[in-house]
Amino acid sequence: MLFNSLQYVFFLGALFLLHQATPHRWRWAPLLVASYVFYASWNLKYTALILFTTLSSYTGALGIERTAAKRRRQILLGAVVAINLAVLIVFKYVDFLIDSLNRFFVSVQTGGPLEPMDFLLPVGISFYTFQALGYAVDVYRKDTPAERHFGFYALYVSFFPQLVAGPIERSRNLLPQLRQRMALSHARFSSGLTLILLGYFKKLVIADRLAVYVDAIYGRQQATPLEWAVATLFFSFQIYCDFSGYTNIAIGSARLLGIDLMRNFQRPYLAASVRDFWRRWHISLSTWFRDYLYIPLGGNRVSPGRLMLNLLAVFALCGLWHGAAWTFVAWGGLHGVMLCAGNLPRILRPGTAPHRAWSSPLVKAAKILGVFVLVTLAWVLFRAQDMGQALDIYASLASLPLNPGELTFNATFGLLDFNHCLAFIALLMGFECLMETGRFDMAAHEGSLRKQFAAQYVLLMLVLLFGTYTSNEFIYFQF
Amino acid sequence: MHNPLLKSLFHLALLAALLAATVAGLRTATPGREYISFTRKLNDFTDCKDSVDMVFIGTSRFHRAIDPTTLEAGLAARGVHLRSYNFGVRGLCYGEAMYVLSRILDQEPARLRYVVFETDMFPGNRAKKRDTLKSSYWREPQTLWPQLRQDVGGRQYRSLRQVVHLADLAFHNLKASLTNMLYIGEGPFLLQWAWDAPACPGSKQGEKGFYCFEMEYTAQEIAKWRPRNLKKTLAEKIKRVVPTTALGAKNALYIRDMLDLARDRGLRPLLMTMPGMPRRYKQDPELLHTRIINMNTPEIMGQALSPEHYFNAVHLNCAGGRRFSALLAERLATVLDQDASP
Repeated sequence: MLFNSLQYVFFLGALFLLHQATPHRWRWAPLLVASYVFYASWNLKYTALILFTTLSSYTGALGIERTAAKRRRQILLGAVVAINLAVLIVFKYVDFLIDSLNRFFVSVQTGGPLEPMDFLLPVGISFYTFQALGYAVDVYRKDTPAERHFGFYALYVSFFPQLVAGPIERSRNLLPQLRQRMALSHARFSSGLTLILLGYFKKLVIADRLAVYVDAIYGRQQATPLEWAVATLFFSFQIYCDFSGYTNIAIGSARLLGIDLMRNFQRPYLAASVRDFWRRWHISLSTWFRDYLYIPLGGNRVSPGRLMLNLLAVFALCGLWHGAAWTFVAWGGLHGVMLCAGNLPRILRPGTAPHRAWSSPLVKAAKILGVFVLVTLAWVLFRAQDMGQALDIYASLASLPLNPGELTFNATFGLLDFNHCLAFIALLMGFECLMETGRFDMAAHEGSLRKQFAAQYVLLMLVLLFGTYTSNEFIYFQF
Repeated sequence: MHNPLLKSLFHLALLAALLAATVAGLRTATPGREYISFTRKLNDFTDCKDSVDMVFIGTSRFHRAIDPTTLEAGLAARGVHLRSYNFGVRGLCYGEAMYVLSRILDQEPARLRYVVFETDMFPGNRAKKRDTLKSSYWREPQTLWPQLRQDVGGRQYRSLRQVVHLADLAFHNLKASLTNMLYIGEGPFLLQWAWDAPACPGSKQGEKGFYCFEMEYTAQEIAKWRPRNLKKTLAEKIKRVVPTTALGAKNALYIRDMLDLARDRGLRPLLMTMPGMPRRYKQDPELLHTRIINMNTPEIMGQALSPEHYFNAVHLNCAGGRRFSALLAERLATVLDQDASP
């Protein structure tokens, strides 16, 4: 069941009413059933996988909490991590490993080719596995008590708004909310509705419209430098609107049900450095890697060389988390390299404040533009079908100057669509700039109801008038 | 009102009411009360009205299937020389067809002798309105639900799978209805793509009234666009093609009115059934007092036209249009010969 389907609208509406009709004490129950129905609508068999992840981390965390000896606690945590990572590796990475081994065998001319396993990738496996692992580590660190109520914990792992594409919730944030009264207020309802409509706007009006052009160009073997540039620029906004649109719908849906999910995006294309970008992009994943991998590796309190090595390793793994392909590893690695480069002045001259001129508005705007260009260029690796295509695109983009006559359109994506895309991107960015100033925040609980209502009306009209209804899946479902 | 649930529901209702008011307001305020493709065609027809002998009035099935160039060449090869005009309009209802005919006749075309109606137009409830504001049949709830009942009526939904199928059908129809309610009388926004699209190669855009929008699609793209197996769908339709059911008294009356109007103005009306449309007509020349050119035969559906000739399960593509027009020329020549004979 896709968020951008009418089935989901009815599903959420029915669940909202059922949720309101259920006594507070039992409200977790319809949410849990609905979450499993939501996942089963994609694949019934794979609900067993979520159940397995839930059971293993639930029992493991209880065991960790009941054990006093540090060594035994470590063993139990190791077991939980190993079991869940094994499931993730088998279902997501095993064919990637087999393919890489086969390539290696061919290159050294030894060993026979291994047969791929061809498992269907369970939707959202990376998200719920990381959520369960985070919980186990939190219990091990005594940051959170182990949840004894299996229903609450099962709902924590499987809560449908964030089940298939995040945000990757923290036990400290979500579990206590499941215990509390999930009370409804008009302001909460209104802000949730605004977020849902904003999500639909981003997905149906911008992302799916851009996807037509991006898919057409990236699906070809050959394109002109200008077409690659435009397609890459469009992909930059497509993936942002697709993923943040999903997140908006997820957070909005959860808010209708009385639960606040963590923020996952904060205007990432207004970041003034790559480091800043990762504070604003997929926040739940970047903070997960920070809390559960980067800091245990030593964080910033290590030698400069080790720090850079850690950054590269963490971001290469972050890339691999996104997909089982070398292009994703390279994408993560490239971000690691950019972060290392950005950190160099701080590492080499610690404690030195940047010159005042560096904080002028003009310089800040140039920085934002520069970061956007770098991030957009890195998206080529993310979107390319393989490393060969990515390198071809980079080579093509390097052959400037760009010729405007090289841009061609067809019946499926005409000049009008192109202009629509530019107009909507401008509208979105203008709106984000406004939010950056702090004058208006759509995600806020307590905004003016009149403003919210006006925003809902405008968004609804835009979605109905300009939405593309092709039922495209969200890009991050594949991760 | 202190109950937050009631407040929230009221909020939703207010939003829906505002939306409905906007839709109604925009529909009223949008200039041009006619369906854009109809207006375009009528303007186009006006330019060549005095050279046209035969006009085809029907739905998008006509629009996509009849290529006047191929048809006229086929007729000329059989000794029949006439010029034709394809007035197929997407989603045309019977009553609207009457409106189309009356607007054509208002132009007083000098040579017009024949009018060919499609038998399987849509039974819309706007049928009696002569100043019709065209909005596609499936987008109107008041049309949708009777249609849906007709589609599913008589079936026994006993298994869960059938119920799910029914729900799926309802959702898809409702989705189409909801998401397209703001087309604003097929107004300025969303139909532009269709008119920006290039014409089918080989057919003359404009004067012949034959437009193709599907030329940019490859078979792979169509398969992506319609995930269900197109060929399978077609094969199922071919199997179901032979039996026919009655037209229904109300729609038979509409057709009879159309035929009477044509005869009153000195035209020779003909009816034509399109491939794959078994449900709503009855081959009863005595009832309708006219000749039916039946192109809905297993030979045409199963042999002459193959899945490669289809744009989707209902409409033909460019190649299909030419193939169909060649077949039509053959049959039409016979019909016209019989008319000419004493």
